[in-house]
Amino acid sequence: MIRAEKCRLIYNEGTCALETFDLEINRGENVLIVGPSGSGKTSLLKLVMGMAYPTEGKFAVLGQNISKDQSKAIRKLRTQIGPIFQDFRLLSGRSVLDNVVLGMRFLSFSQSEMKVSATEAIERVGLGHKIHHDIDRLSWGECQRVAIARAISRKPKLIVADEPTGNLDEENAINVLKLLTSLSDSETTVLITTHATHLVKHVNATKVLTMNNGIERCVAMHEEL
Amino acid sequence: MKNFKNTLYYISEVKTILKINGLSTLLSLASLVLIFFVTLLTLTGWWLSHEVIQGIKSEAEVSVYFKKDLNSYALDALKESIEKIEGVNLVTFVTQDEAYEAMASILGEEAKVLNHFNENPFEAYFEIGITLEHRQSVLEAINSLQNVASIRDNREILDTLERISRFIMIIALVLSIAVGVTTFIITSHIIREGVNAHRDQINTLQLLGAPNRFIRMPFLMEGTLISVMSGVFSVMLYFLFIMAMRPMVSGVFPFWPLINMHAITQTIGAVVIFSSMILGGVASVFGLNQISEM
Repeated sequence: MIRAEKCRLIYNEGTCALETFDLEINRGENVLIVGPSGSGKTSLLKLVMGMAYPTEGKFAVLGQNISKDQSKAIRKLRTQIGPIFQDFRLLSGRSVLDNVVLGMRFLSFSQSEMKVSATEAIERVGLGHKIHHDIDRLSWGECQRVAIARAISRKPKLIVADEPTGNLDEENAINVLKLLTSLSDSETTVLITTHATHLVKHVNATKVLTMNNGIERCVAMHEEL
Repeated sequence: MKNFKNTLYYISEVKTILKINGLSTLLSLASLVLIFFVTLLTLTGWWLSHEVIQGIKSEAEVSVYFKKDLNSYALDALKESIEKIEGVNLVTFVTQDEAYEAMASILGEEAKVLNHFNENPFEAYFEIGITLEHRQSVLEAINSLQNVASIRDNREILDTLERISRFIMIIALVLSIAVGVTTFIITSHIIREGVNAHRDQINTLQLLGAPNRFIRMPFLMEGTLISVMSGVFSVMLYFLFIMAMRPMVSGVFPFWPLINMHAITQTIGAVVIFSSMILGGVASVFGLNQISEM
């Protein structure tokens, strides 16, 4: 699913975001990436999304090498990923349904399949009663749920969530993490970054990556516990 | 069906983009309408002058006035001599009364000015149909004939009209190029504004894996729509203008009714609308080039 060999990421201005690391994440895993701000969590997700390219070594997602000369293939790879951005990146002035459907319009869904999949996803995140509401009238937590619905409605092979607990209180943060980890199955892998290390014990993850200017530790959840 | 599944989405996106860039779009549209309108008028001017010249040329007639008091034998002899000249197609004798009627017919409603004359002011003459390429030799041959008082041909008028027509054509050409460039700049600028206003949305779609054609289509439609709307509005304005001007102009130029204005205005209108569509599309593609891989 995700494989890194002697991978290193240095940004153009010279900042070393990720020291050399190896990594293997398999299909169906539920992976938590924890660490303080600036530890490289988002940089790792940027590599996964093809928004950054490894300076050294190899990095592959769903069998696709992430490198500068693969931009077209990376665009295609993204259609198999369900991203949940820290700032959600929802389109204002549109309804919940429109936002969710937008993530599927260019995929191989028919018009009716899009509507069914979007409605199911919106109901799954508990927003069925607000399906036609304008996105601008929703709370922060509700917007996050819409972003999650947009990600899962695409039936992706990989769900990537960047700091989904960012602005939530502990109870809501745990609920969101539980919701996200419940999305993994034999076909879908879930990758979540969070700086809230104290929440890890509440979540049923298969693997935890501890970051500190690169991957410091990578352990299976049961070992951590 | 798959290709059409996003049509409604594209249309709704175009509406949103137009709404967000409202005032700027409106001003650009107004500028384009005026530019197209001026071009339409210039093209019409050129076409009309061309038509008039062609009309006059096709007649290619020379009027030969003879010395007064010639008897019928002398007139017949003169007619016969003219008919023998190479390049002369037809020689018709026009009496004083016929000359008067011809002028009254040309002047139409203005013919009442002829009533001010106590007697017929026109002279009898020979109307000679010639082939254009023999114009010079025919004129020289007629000039050398006895009993010829004067010759009047429309060469000078034709030459002047041709010069005016060439001048209008150059202006129309320059203006058309200027309009093309201006439309291109304005439309691609509108697209750039739209792209900048929607940078976050574009970036999100790219991160979701949307192909370029999906991202660009609403902007392409927006640019083409604005350009075509400008073309259509300018043509409507142009038709209204022509309708309003026609009665005034036809009083000044008696030959005006002979020109098929419908054909001219409709052809020029269609050309401008078609050009506006092509220009809008090309300029939009150019403006969209700034959406790069992110």
